Amino acid sequence: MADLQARVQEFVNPELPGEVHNAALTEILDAVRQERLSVPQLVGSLAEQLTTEDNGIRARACQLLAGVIKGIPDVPLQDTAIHSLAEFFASRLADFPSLRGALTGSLALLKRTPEVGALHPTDAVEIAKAVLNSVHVQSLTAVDRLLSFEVLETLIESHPSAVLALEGDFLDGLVAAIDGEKDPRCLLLAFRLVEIAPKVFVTGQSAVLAEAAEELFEVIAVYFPVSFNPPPNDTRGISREDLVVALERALAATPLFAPYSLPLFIEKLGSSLTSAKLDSLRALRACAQSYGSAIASQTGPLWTALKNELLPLSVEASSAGEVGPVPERSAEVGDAAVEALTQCVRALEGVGRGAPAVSNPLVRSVLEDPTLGDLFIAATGETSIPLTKLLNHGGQSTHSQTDPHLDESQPRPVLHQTVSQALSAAPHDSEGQARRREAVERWSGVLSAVATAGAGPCRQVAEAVMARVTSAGSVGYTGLRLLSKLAGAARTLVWTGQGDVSRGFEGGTGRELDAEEVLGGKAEALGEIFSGVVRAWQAEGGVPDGELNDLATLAVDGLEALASLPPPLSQAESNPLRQNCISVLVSVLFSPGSDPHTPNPLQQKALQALASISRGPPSKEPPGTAEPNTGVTRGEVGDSWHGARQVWAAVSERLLQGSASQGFSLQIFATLAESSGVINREVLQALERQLDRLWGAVGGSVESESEAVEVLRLLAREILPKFGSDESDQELVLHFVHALLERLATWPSPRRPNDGLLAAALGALCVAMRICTEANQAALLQKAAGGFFQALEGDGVWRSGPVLAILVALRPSVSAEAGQPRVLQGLLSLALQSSDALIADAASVALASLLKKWPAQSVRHVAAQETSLSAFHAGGASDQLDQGGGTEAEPEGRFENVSTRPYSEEANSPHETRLPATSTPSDTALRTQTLGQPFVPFGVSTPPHGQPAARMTPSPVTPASTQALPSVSPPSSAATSDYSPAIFLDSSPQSVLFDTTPVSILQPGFSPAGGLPGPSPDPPGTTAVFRAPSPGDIPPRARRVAQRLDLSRLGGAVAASNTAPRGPEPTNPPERSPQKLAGGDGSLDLESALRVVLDERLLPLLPESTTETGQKGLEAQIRGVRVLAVVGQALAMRGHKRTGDVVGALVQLLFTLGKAHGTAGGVNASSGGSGKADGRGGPGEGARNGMPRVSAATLSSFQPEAHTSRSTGESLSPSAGSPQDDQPSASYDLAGLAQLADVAAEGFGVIAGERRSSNPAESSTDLNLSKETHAQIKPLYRQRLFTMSLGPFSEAVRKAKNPEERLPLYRGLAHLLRGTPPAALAVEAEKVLLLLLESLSALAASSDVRAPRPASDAPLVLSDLLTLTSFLTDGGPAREHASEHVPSIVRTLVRLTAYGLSASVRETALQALVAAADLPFTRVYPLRNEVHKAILGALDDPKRAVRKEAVRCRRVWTALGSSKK
Amino acid sequence: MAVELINPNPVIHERKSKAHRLDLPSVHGDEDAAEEFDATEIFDHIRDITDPEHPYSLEQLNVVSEEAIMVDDKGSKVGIKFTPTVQHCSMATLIGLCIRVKLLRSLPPRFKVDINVAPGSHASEAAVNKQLNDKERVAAALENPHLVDMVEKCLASSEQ
Repeated sequence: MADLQARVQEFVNPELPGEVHNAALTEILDAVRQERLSVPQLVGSLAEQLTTEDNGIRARACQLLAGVIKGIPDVPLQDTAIHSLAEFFASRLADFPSLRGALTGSLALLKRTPEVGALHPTDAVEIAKAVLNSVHVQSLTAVDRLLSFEVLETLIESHPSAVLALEGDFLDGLVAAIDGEKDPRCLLLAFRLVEIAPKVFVTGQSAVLAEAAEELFEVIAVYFPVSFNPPPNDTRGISREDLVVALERALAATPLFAPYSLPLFIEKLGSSLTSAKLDSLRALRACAQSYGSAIASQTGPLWTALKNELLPLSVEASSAGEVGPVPERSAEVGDAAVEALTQCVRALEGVGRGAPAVSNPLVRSVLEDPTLGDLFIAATGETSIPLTKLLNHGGQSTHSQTDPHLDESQPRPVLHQTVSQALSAAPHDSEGQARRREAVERWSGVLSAVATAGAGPCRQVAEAVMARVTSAGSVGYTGLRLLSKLAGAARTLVWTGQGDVSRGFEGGTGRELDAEEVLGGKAEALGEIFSGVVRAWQAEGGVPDGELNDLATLAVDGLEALASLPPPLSQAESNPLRQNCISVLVSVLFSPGSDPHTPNPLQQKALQALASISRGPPSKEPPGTAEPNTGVTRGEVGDSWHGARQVWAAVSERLLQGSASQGFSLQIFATLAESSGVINREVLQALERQLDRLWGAVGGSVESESEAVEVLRLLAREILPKFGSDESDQELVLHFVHALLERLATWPSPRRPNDGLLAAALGALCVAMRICTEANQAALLQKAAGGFFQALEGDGVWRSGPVLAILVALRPSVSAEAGQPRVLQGLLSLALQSSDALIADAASVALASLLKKWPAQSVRHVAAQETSLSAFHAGGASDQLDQGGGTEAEPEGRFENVSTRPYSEEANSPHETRLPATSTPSDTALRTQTLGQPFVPFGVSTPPHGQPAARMTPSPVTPASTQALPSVSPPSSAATSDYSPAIFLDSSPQSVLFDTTPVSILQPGFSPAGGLPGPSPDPPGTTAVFRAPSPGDIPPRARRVAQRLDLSRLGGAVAASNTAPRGPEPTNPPERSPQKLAGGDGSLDLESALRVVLDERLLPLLPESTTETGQKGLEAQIRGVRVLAVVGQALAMRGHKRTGDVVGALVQLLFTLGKAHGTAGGVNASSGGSGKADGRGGPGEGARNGMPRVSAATLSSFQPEAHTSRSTGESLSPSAGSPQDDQPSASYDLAGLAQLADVAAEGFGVIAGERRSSNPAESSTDLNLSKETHAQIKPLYRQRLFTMSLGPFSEAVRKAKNPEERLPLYRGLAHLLRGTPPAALAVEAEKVLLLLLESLSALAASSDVRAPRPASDAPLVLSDLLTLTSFLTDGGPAREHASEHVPSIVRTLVRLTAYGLSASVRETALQALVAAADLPFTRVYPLRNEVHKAILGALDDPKRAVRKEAVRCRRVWTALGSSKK
Repeated sequence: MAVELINPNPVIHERKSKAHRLDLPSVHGDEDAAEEFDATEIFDHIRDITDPEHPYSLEQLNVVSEEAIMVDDKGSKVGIKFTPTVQHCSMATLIGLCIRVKLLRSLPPRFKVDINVAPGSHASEAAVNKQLNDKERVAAALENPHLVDMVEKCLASSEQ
């Protein structure tokens, strides 16, 4: 206690510093909270100080007490204590030194809530009195004033009864307190006081308020309009905007201010300051909103003032026919004025309620304004159409309007004549016309502002304008513009639901406003006028310009707006108004006479109008329910909005009749489909029908073929992507896919669809497929596979296209199921050997897609874990093998059975089973049989080679043997990956040549072993790719599927057709043997799959020396590199470590080719012959040895098991036996090599995801790997790829001897850089920079030397240059590195300023030079002479853009010299 | 500086949009096609030079215009006629000097540039023309740091 006493003394002592005070207060507060000290005790201990004569101490004591009360708002206090405290503080308010304490204390007391003991009302009154009487607020410091205002605010908010008790005194006191305030913080509070005080009195004694209103208004009105410039170092954070808003609220506080505020606003509107005008208009709007009908007395002056803003004087004058310049008007002010006008009209809506005859006074003022009349008088000179014609016509054909064809077919001579006369009589005073239109524009803005205020004003305006038009007897631009704007306003009104003011009164049912309500009975007449004008335009021949066209444009606007109005309840079903509008718009859309190929602007406009009608009102939250996410989307709104269907009904019929040109009708389809999701299904169906129609003629006419392509493209781009996974959508998509597959399947045999059509079809198929659910995808895959392979024998490989497209689009899980070894083989063969470029392309993408989605984990493991999968991966296969015999085979065991057994056998007798290079086709097939299909006991007639296999392979048909197998070989071992089926897949295309396999070998073994009927194509060792619906269903179906999906067969066929005549084929149905290829169940893990694809097929294709290029066939190598690149992209996307192999191989290839090129220059390649003659010793091995050593090391880390597979590969290697080997030629085909190098270089672009070349021949399919086709893309994969590739690149560059040799490498690098994000490049700037500079010089120089492809390097140079520029402008480390190489950078750039092949390169080089001038001065400066010389040349460049840059560059470099000298 | 402005109240014309360059037939696609120097290009160089006594550009004051520029690319000749805002404008030589300096910096050295006041637009037309096209006098003027300073100020706006 004594301790606390000391604290109290400390606090009270004014001499002590602030920190001590604060510390003391904190401690005392703690004591009070912990009830070591009660408030009465504190008061007791302070007794002396509170009453001392010493002002300082008394003030401190009062502050202590106040501080404690303030600090314990949640600690209960006794009523008596509160009472005495209140009394004390109220009395101290008169004591100037204690004032701050007293104010703080009062405030704290006023803020107390009843739960902890609130202030008694009488005490509140006492405090209020004391504040008003004893405190002269304006003589206090800002802090105290703020406190005083807070006290007043709390009084009003928490103790309104005390405020009311003081009656007028309170308001007077308030005015006195505020008067003369200047501090922005205090002003904000003061405005707030004025805003809230009237509300207390309105509910209590409004008479008192009425008396004080003027004074209260005056005290804040002096601040209007707010002029406030915060001091430069303002920390209070109050902006002018805050003050303006607060003041607006205060001014709008009560309608009693209206008589004073409106004149003020009107006066300030006359100010020449834009901000003053804006403030006035804003305040006017806010006040109109809150004052309501109180502004009625001011309507006259109000309109006059607003009119000055809305219709500047000269506009009025010009509307009366006089000519004068239209003054500049701030658009902001105009908008604000429009809003203010709308709000004022709305405020007056309440006036005269219940007496319909009394209309809105402000609307009346507007409509009766004399200048509006002048506008119509002035308009008599313009082209106009007699109203009688329009309305009579409309009247006659009300019933016939539903049939627009009729109207077009009937010429209307009378109307025609009238219009022509009018046109010839029209004055061609363009300036006068422009001014009049300006006036019309302004006026229509005013009228629409009035009309959007509510249903009542809208009707009023409609009636008035119609009356004007009627009395004029004709309608021209002026009338039509007003009418169409009016219709637009009505639509806005209905859509924004702003008609609520009147709805409440009219007892609406909560339904939206309808056409009847907003336009009275005029809606029909409006519709007739608009339609009539459009017909007149059509009757004149639909001229796309001229005044009549202007009129028709306005009419289309009007029709659009009218059609968007909801119909009255009575016509809700039929909605004749909208029907009419739509049919007129549709008739415009299909106007005859216009150029069929390029729709005129009005047709486009009509299309947009129809789209807008079908789009319907913008979605909005239903009022009242403020849930943030109610799921109200456009689509759902659209369902209740019948517009889309009506429009569609009107358009589709004529579209399908072919009333519009092909291009335009596709545009119509696209636009309408875009506008509303409701009709997606219909659009799809209509397009399908169209496709059907076109397809019939597709074989014959080129034209319909190109149209079909367009339709397919539209479907793929716009329509199909909108479909989702719900059932009805799926159904349609399925139907589409089925139909498309059917169409392709029934394509007449002899010829293939041309590239464009096939590509479009595949693209559409891919898009449709990617939408399908997994189950559907699986089913479709099956269907496609089924249909196509049957037809394969007779036809070309193009029929595999659909399967390829489907493979690309598969979802990962389905893809995993489709990922069979044999599929891989088949795709590889297609990609590498198909003579059909498009299919080869598609196949490589499909292959990449499979690899991309290949489960990272071995399917086998998945199978072990997931019963559902195992049921069909392994179990499904075994089921069918067992033919219903016995038990479920264990997946693991089955796998081992397939994979390890043949290997061990192999190891035992390699020479018997391994075939030498001279293997015959039959041998190959046999070996295939042996390796892949150990279950078939075909020992009957096998040649000697096959015997061991037959002998050692147990029969699969007996269940016992399948069960026994797991025990024979351990279920899993570390070795499995090495022994996985991949190894036994044939690595040479020839071995897939089952076609040439003699039937006799295989046939006998099949029937008995499989237990199947002899001719049945179903082989035993097939794989179930798809989930079978029921177990009983599995065997036959799954067999079929697997068989159908056996793309390897396809590959074989390709190979056969490409390499050898198909002799034995007819007698040898291809369904026979090849299934065995893949091994049994197709469970192949990613590593093995990659080994198959990369090590056995793709990488060996790459030549290690130029000799080999000749041997292996350039064509095949180019293909291989392409496929490798696509596969590389898939790997890079999934971040697979073997990406490194692909990159390494490509770099190596570039290196090799570069060397060849470097040495080849003129000398014949005699030396190449021997070096790699023994090259067949392991393709992979060779590739590795050929690599520069360091890069091999870099890469080998990616591939720990490379050795194993390699050694196996070596012994296997059959590639040397390929027929191409026969070619003895070792001479260089330089052009071919260059092409190979280019493809390899571009490969880097492909891997890095650079946009594929726009050359249609090269990337003819629309298939690619992307998110849409369910390819998950690893973030930052480009960065990783780049970092990974940089090492090999720099190493290879280092190894290459001269720039010529490095060229291919540089090209590859440029492609890679192009695909890499700049941020990633900047990180590696140090390494990149030097490479970049060298490659720039090399590429730039090469273009002079090498004739064949001069311009092809230009884009690469440019992209390299852009990278360099980004380094120079980069703020970070890249720039620092750049500054270390200033001379070489600048010299390279200087050389590029004269780059002859591309102006963009020269231009960019100059820009880069500008950027380079910012590098460290001491390094840049010595180079200025060289730069100047280069610039002098550039100044005379043939291209303007370059010259311009040169001028800029010259200035910068000149400044560099002069400023530092 | 002159205390009183020579033309205290010049007529300001609107600045034409720079976009009109796009209207010209584009030869962008063709790498080999040469785009010859033309009046528009020369005009682009000098249009934004600031008038020595007003904060407006020469184009806004209608001192220079595209029509008054003659270009012969083959013959390496450029002729410019400019119109001072008032007959007795003492700034005419300075304006001419600015134009000359600007073109000196912007055109390749092969061009011979003739700068003259439009006939009849200046009281001492002959004298001004003589001064502007006299190499020696131009060189001498450019030695004068005060003059160079003024020229730089005028050119600053056209070099952004």
